[in-house]
Order: sequence, then C-alpha cells, then structure tokens
Amino acid sequence: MSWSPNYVEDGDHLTAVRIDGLFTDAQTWLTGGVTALGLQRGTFNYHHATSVLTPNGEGYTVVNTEDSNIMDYTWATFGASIQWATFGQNGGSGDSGDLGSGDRAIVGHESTGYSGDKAQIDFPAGGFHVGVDNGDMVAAILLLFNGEISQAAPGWGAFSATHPEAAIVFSIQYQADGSGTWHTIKRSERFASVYDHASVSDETADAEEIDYDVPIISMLTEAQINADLGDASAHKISSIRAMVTSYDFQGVQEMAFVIRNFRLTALPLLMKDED
Amino acid sequence: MSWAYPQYKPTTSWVLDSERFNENLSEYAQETDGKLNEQNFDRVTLDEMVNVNQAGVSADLALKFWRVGTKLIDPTGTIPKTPFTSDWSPIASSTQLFYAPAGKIFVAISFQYANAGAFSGVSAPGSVFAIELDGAVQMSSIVGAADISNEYTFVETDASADILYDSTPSFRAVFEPKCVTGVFQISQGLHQVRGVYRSLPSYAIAASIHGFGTVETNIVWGWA
Repeated sequence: MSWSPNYVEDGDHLTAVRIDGLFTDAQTWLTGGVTALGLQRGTFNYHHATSVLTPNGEGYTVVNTEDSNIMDYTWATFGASIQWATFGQNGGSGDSGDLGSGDRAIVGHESTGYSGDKAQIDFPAGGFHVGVDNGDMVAAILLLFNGEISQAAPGWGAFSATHPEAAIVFSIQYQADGSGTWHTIKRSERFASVYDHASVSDETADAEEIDYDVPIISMLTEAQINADLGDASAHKISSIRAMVTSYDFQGVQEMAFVIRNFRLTALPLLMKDED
Repeated sequence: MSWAYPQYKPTTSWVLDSERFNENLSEYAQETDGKLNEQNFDRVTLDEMVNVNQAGVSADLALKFWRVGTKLIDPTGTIPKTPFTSDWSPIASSTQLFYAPAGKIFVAISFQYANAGAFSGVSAPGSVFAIELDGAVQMSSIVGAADISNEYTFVETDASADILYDSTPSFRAVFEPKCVTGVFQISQGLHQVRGVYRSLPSYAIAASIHGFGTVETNIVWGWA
C-alpha cells in the first residue's frame, strides 16, 4: 500500500491531539501526497489530459472570415504580378501592413473581394519560449495550414505545351518578440503548379477553376529558432503567418490567382523534446 | 466523498474501543489507497493545475515528438526522380526511427510531390501515398487518387490534342503538395515510420516519373 494509517494500539493515550494527528495524516495524504500507486488504473482519461498538449488547453486557429468572398492576388491588387524569388525574410515592402509586396503576400490579403482576417496568429501574452528548458515547457509548435487555390491564370506570354507554366507557392513564417524580422520555415515551402492552356482551348486565361487544397504540416522547433536567432531561450515566438506568392517557370509572364479558403493552426506543444 | 462512512460511531459516554477506531481508519485507507478515480478529481481543477502553472506538468506525463525534415527543392530546383513502382516504395528522406513507450502516436508526413513524367512531356500515372509503420502500410492513411478532395488530375501533355478543358482543370499535377496523417496505437519499443508511395497503373510508363522533395515527418507520442 502506498499509505496506511497510524493505528491506535492498546494502551495508547487517545487524546484529542492524537486523534487529530491521525486524521491529519490521512488528510495530508489525500490533499498533497497521493502518488501514482494511490490511483485506480485508468482513472484519468482525455477529459483530464486535454491540457497536457498545450499550455492553454487548446491551439490557435485563424480562418478566412468571409466565406463568400475571395482573395485576389492580381496585379490589380499589388500593382504588378507577385513573382516568387525567395521567401527569405519579412514580407517585403509595399502596401498597408507591410504584408504584400512585389514578391509575396500574406494569405488573406485584403483585396477588392475580401477584407476579413489574415492568416496570422498572434499568441497571447507575447507568445512562448520554445524549448522545454526555456521556461514555458513548449518544446515545439506544430503548424497546420490549408489553403484553397480557387483560380489561377498564368501565362500572358509565349505558350509552351511541355512545361508547367507557373506555380503558386506557400510558406509559413514566424516572428519573435512581437516585432522585427519574419523568418521563413523553409521546410514549409510548398507549391502547386498550374498550367496555361488558353491557347489550346476556349478557356479564358483568368477563369481557370482549380479548387485545389494545399496542405502543409510543419513543426517549429528549438533547433530552427537557434539557427535563425542564435538562442531560443532569449526569444518568445509571438506570431505565425502564412505567405503566398507565384512563380513563373519561364520568368516572363504575368500571374494571377485567387484563394478562397484558408485555415492556419498553431499548437504549442508541452512535451519532451526528442528532436 | 465516494467511500462509505465509518461504520463505528462512538457516542457520548461510550468507552472507545481501539480496534473499532482502527477499523474506521482502515476504511479510509482501503477505500482510497489505489482506488481513487475520476470521481475524486474535479476536471476543471486539474485543467487549472496544468494551465495556470505549467510546471505542474511532469516530464513523464508530457508528450514526446520526433521529426525529420529536409529542404530539397524550391520552384527553381530539380526534383530527384524515382521509378514507376507497383509496390509500395519509400518516400526519400521521410524515415524516422524512434523509441517510444506504449501509447498512441500522431503521424504527419508533409511533402512536395512532383510528377516528373508529365513535366518532361511523357504521359505518366499518378500516385497514392500512405504512412508505413513498422513495415506495414497503414491503409487508413492512404491519400491519392482515391481521395476526392486531393485527387490526381491527369492531363494530356500533347498540346495538339485540343483537350476540352471545360471539364479538366488547368491544374496539371506536375507539382503538388501532399500530406498523409494518422493516429496509431503502438507498443513499447523501437519503431519506424516513413512515407510510402505507389504508382497508379498507366498505359505508358516512364522509367523515372515521380519526384519527392521538402519532406517533413512529424511524430507526436501521447500517453494513452
């Protein structure tokens, strides 16, 4: 047994103090001394364990907030076709919020048809130190992203039948300490290719329905932050966002696309780091 | 309280019987020791213990994760090609060996797929993808042609064929991101997780038609 009472023996002086002491022993065990041996096997279930995963008992999610509207990534929005060069850092310079530029933009970017939430999560209280020994017991942040490419229209220039004309490129970035540089998680870069067939069919170039879901699952680790910032223990990861751009494989053509739905989730994980 | 009240209830002027008194104490011990269950703990209280004070999470109660990730390609890069295969074959750089206690694992393998056959102008089949755990392909994780939400779209690459694109999206599936996920029960010991793929049948089979890059495998172990 993990606990047993102090039994009264014949001849003991059973004073009030003695009796109180016996019950206090039991109370102490019940209130602060119950060990694993004291628990019935199977006692705890998912109701009790939900908060073990994350510091706040749940993750953080942002979705498009205007279901019926779409996000246009066109030269009408940006002044020119956004063309991938490298995600690199930050969001470039450009329109309001510094989130769209000549080479990339945030998913959920404001456009003619959309003024809802952007694909950016700002963690409460300044965020988390990543690394189990860095104060918040967050060993990593699991990142999940889905973005639906609704339409794409590559190719205003020469047509090539045997080459993918363009790709729509996604990436997840993070920011530390509430300001400053946005760092790209390079492993999260994904792209889906689209094709210009305007010259071989009766389709118009700007109305190709794709409705393709781009899924990304990645993990922001202490090792990644150490590599980007030098010392993960000195920085709180404060924000996560999803970026998008396009890439023309021939390098000369305009590109436009539309995103309809997105969902970005960040799950700071309380656990042991076995990375 | 979930246990029965003490049976021996002395009243005024009774001579206290030490045996009976001990029986009362024993009832507490017997009813609680090893038998405390969910009825003895308030769920909200437990949540607050963990949430308010994260130090309340002991290391052996917490979770573990393993991951392997590679950065191989971007749109300008060359995707390594792999052959057509009728059998399940491994996705390069997705393999993770790990030692875990018994429990459940969440596995997510996120990767960039390329149909290099289509890219080079050769008619090529699509692929299906799955998680392989300890050598066994997990059928519940299969994604590919059978997955309506992310189905492979075959597109003829001969421009002179004048395909009716009204019914065929312009998405060529030359490059496409994929994810396979699953939750599995494992026993204590050394395990291996990796992603696998299998080519779909095709009337024209190129030697090396598929490609994989930017693979990230994440495994989260949870006590269960």
